Amino acid sequence: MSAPVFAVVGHPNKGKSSIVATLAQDNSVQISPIPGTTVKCRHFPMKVDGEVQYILVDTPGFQRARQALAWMRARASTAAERVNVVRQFVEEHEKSGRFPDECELLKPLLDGAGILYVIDGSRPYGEEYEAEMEILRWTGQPSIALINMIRKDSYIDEWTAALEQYFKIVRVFNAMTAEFQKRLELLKAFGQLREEWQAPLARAVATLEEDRLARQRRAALAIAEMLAEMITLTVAKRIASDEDPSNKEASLAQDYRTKLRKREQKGRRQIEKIYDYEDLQREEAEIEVIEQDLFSLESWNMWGLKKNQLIATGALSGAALGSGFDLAVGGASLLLGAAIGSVVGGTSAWFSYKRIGEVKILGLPLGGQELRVGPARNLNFPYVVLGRALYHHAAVMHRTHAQRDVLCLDTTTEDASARSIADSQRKQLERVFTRLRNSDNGNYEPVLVERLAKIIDEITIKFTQTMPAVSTTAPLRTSAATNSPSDATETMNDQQPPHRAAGSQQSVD
Amino acid sequence: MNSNNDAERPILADLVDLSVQVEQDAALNPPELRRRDRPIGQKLAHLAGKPQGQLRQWLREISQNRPIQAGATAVKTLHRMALILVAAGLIIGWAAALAIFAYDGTQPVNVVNVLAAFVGIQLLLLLLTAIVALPRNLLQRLPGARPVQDLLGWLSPGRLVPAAARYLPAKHRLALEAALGRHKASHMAYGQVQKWLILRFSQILAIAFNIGALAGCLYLVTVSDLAFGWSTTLTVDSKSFHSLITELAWPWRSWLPGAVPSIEVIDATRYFRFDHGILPNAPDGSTDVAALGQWWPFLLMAIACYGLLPRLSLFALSQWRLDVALQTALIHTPGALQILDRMNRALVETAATEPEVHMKSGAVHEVLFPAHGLDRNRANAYLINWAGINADEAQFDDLFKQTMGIALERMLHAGRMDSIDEDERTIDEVANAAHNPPILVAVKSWEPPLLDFMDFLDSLRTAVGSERLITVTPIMFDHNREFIPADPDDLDVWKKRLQSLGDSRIDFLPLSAEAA
Repeated sequence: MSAPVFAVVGHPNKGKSSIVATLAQDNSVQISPIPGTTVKCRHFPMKVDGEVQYILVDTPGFQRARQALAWMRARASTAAERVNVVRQFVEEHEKSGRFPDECELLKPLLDGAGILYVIDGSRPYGEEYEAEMEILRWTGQPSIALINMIRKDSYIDEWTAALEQYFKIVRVFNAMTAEFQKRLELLKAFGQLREEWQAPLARAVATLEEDRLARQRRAALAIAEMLAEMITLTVAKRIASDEDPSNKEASLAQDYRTKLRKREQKGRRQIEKIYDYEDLQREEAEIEVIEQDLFSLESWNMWGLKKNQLIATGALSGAALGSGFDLAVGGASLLLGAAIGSVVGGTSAWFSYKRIGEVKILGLPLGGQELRVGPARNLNFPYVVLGRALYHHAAVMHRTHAQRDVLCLDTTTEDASARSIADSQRKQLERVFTRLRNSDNGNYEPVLVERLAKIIDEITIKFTQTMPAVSTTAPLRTSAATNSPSDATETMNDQQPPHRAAGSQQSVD
Repeated sequence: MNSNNDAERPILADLVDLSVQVEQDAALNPPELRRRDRPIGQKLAHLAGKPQGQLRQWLREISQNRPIQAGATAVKTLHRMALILVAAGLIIGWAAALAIFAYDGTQPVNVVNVLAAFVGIQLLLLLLTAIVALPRNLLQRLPGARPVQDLLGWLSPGRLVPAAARYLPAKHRLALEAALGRHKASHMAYGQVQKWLILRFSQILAIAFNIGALAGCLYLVTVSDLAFGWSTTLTVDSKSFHSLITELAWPWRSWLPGAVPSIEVIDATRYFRFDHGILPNAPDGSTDVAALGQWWPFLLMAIACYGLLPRLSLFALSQWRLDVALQTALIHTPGALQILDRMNRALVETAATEPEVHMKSGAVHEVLFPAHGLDRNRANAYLINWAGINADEAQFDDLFKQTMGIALERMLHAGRMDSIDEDERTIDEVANAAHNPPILVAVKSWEPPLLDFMDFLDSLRTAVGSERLITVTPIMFDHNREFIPADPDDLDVWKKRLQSLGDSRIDFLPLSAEAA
């Protein structure tokens, strides 16, 4: 059996390409305010190990629907003749070149594709749409209407009333803000169009869900690797014994910072690539400018742990050292070691609040000395890095491929920082962090990264669920500021669900 | 590369090749890598649950086109290093035997000396090696043990290998460094490989040394007549020396009694510095002279049991641990987990199969709009309402009076559903109006200019002649059907589309914000 095909059709500039970009997670889809950007059909097969599950087809918009319908009406006298007349229309005008867009978009429908008719629900309904809806009805293919919300205004009611006369299923779907689950729900709805399409789409949905989890695990591993490398990063410089080390301290610290930043940027790109955002690199410079600098103090306050959490954490890592003491004396100290460790650890956490890595001077066996920065001793450092990485990851996960603006990471709240990590998970994290901090010369056990990845994976699941709907987009053009997609989200949340008629109309967004 | 060779290929070679391959792959995109690795994973489905096997077989599949040489070179280099160590060990052992067993007929070979050199020192070194070999996390619990291990590790003769590598040709040096994970020093897995590799080299040297010593000893016994004696400054009598020797001979005394010197021999072979080569306790006559040479089987067995055997077993241990470390390092090589993930996870693709076809952007002849040449004093304009803008004539009249100072004489319709004929009637009416009224076309700003509209404009232009001014005004409503200024982005789309017509008598006149 051939895979189900769905053609995304409609008026030009109503977000067909956005919907395709979001559903196909493809950044290469050209999204432009200029009507007629799409001139040829483009196929987006969803393949699992090369086996096609379904195909989405992006089509050009109707340009001369009234004229086309007039031509068809002149040739069909009965309903039975309509499909053939549409076929005749395509055959005849493919040669004449009079209706290139209509021919291009009707071809997949004549080959049996289901219809996904897209309109913009933020703009008023108009009678000029009726000609194209009528032509679509003439093709006899199963269809679903998608009300795409491009701007914040809503004309859902008048659209719903009109669409229900032509389409069995009407759904609201915001291509810009639709989260992963909503995309899956929409795919399931496509399965309702024909009975034989239900099974392949259910399979596709299950695979996409698995794939999502796999990507999340990959991301957790990438974050864990980044974190381990950043914590254990060490830069060293050999200097002669008679040289004053203070001259080199500044440049060495600068080198350390540069390396940390570079590693963090590399981590960001890795995460973006995991979620198929290749083109986000283009906006990398913007991200760097907009993102809170790792070394700015506000960044510490915003992303890391609070002082009291920090003290508790410090106590924890101190206790880990203390228990080592207990083991060494065969437990004879009755956990006294842990108690002493807690006190010492807690105090040091307080003092190391603003210090990431300290410059150390070590003697070298062959004379001379070595100036070394790292590994990062500051207890809050891993949490700051982790908090930022989790926020970035959640923002990338929430993003859709229809969004083409700058990913802006300058805002966060209590819920979206390392502070929201549960105590039990923080304890697990701290155990790994302590071992990483104490690894000599950045020589850490790989199993630590795997352990870290597992904890981060668990945190990520919670984090992406609880991340508040803060704006992660910054409009490129100031003129578009009032209509930014994030505004649209809020409006969508506020607005009444569209009127349900005869159980046919369901709201997705 | 055939499959027989694959099975015999050392893991070390694969480990080096793996890290080289991961570095090469860094230049490729993740989707590209997934497309490459997933089919290999499916082909290797029989290895599911055996990550090392999967990784090694993956390397074979990947390197079919362009075999990586680094691993083979590294292994070859290490083999050469081992050979050099064997040769060095043999020579040193031989030389040590010759030196310690040197007998010029003046003083017998001192058994105590031989035992100190070939048993005592060797056992001490063995103990130190054992400390180095202990797992680090065990040592962490013993205060002060780690610095000792660090120091001993530093002194280990196996260390000579990386040091000697500096003098190798570049190709071999790089391969060796890759094998020792120099550039991946941050990974403990490589640290373990390095540790056991170095320990194994130490054992090779030690084994060669012992074999050299045994061979040297045998050679001297064969080609010369050695006289052994024992001498010490300490107050040890023959009896206790005999019991010490018997204890030392414990491993072989039961099955090789000939290699355990008797109390008589011990008694007979004791000598003192001032005896000048004479054994005072030796009985006169030549019958017992043979006893002087009877030490050698004992000494040979002592070297074999306390020098060679422990080294052989340590070699076996370090070989085993090295294999384990290599297996661990293989799956912990940076990038290995990602390779396994790519092989074992279904490849999900949703992106387009064909590239985007870009709009034909032929030479657009843009013209400037006339400076709003609408005659504002005329009170008899004709308005064409395109596509059924939901406002009546009076509303439009108010709007145009306020914004442009012109009154409407008539409102005509075009672009409505089912109304191709209506479009033609509108065009006829405008063209045939005797008083040449100004022509206004109101369009919905939020709908893009379609070819349907452009066709209409074209027909209108043909009908009214090339000189008549046609003014297009995009309209925008709010929810209460009140006119408001249009979205600048929408206006931009309209403006560009109209300009692309290259018609200098088409004007574009959006409503100003104040007017609306």
